[in-house]
Amino acid sequence: MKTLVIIAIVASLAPRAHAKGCHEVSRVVGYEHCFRFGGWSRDEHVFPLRLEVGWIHQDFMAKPLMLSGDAVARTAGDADSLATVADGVAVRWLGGGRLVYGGLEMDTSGLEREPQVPDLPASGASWSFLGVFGVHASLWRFAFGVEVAAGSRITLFSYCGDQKSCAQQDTQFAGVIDGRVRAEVFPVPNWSLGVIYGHSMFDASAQSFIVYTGLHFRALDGMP
Amino acid sequence: MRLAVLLLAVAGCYLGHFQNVRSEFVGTRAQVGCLDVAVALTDDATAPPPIVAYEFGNRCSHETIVDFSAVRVFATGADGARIELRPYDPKSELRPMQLDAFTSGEERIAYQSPWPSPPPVVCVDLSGLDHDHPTPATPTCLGAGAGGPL
Repeated sequence: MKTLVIIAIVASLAPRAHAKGCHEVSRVVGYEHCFRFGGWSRDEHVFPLRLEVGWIHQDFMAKPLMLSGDAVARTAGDADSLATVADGVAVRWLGGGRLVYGGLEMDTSGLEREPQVPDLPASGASWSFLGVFGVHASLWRFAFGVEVAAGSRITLFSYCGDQKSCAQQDTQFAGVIDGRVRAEVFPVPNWSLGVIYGHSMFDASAQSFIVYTGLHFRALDGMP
Repeated sequence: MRLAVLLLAVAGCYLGHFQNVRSEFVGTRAQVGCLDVAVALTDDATAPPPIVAYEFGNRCSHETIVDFSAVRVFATGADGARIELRPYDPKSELRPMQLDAFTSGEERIAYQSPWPSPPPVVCVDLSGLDHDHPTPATPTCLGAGAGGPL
């Protein structure tokens, strides 16, 4: 409901925004100075850009820890103890043609689960910077797509507790290539809600899940 | 600029049932192919009458082509003569254009009348407005004494 109110307010302001800096004398075709015939049309060249913001959940395996203060890597006794879970925010800027799209994704997450080091409190964060390329199509108010997201992930493991100066941490860099499927619904043509499931194409233990909302410059992104 | 474009895009949302995000369509209603259309006579400080205001929305889940050059407008003079009026289009802007699914638009078009005073009744044939889905001609008549669709 709150979203609908915001959209209504935004919509009511739209004509003023468009006419800023130009004094319109008439809205009749042929007499217009600022507007022109067909502003409602997709033939007007509006790039199908979209901004998506959502919650992301990531599962992946950490590498053996090399804490700054240790001379050797700490290797967990079983693989599961390296399991890492990160929850956070995903922001995506995408655009493209009617069938294909591409763009950038940035994920910022806190670690909900990480490898444990005896007697040390654990915390951490993860950042991913990905390029995205995919294909999509719409069916009524729904859209479906498959995409590949590739880039890098930086994960900071910290075992410092409240200490101001800490050497017990490890920063790991990892390549990411995820194959993803997505589904979204458009309550209105320029606003969507969707989900994405992704799985690493080379790491069987790594997967991600995103729930997002998107704002679209072009209705349904101009999808076929 | 991008924000302005986005705002305009949101403003163009068509909710169905002759209503967009901002308001309900004003005028006599008709359905032509995928288009819900409302037409009304309006006036303008600059342009001479008759001026027809069109509000339209695409209720289909796919784009369609809106062709205002295919809309035919007729007027009946005081002497009973019925003639077709030409749209005022000095920049040759009227041409078929695509309208996305679930979006809407509006236009005001002035028509050139041969009479010094505005014709009392103007009839609009919208049958060709949806270029992809033409419908049988059912002119909608506007003005004092007009009874809506013929």
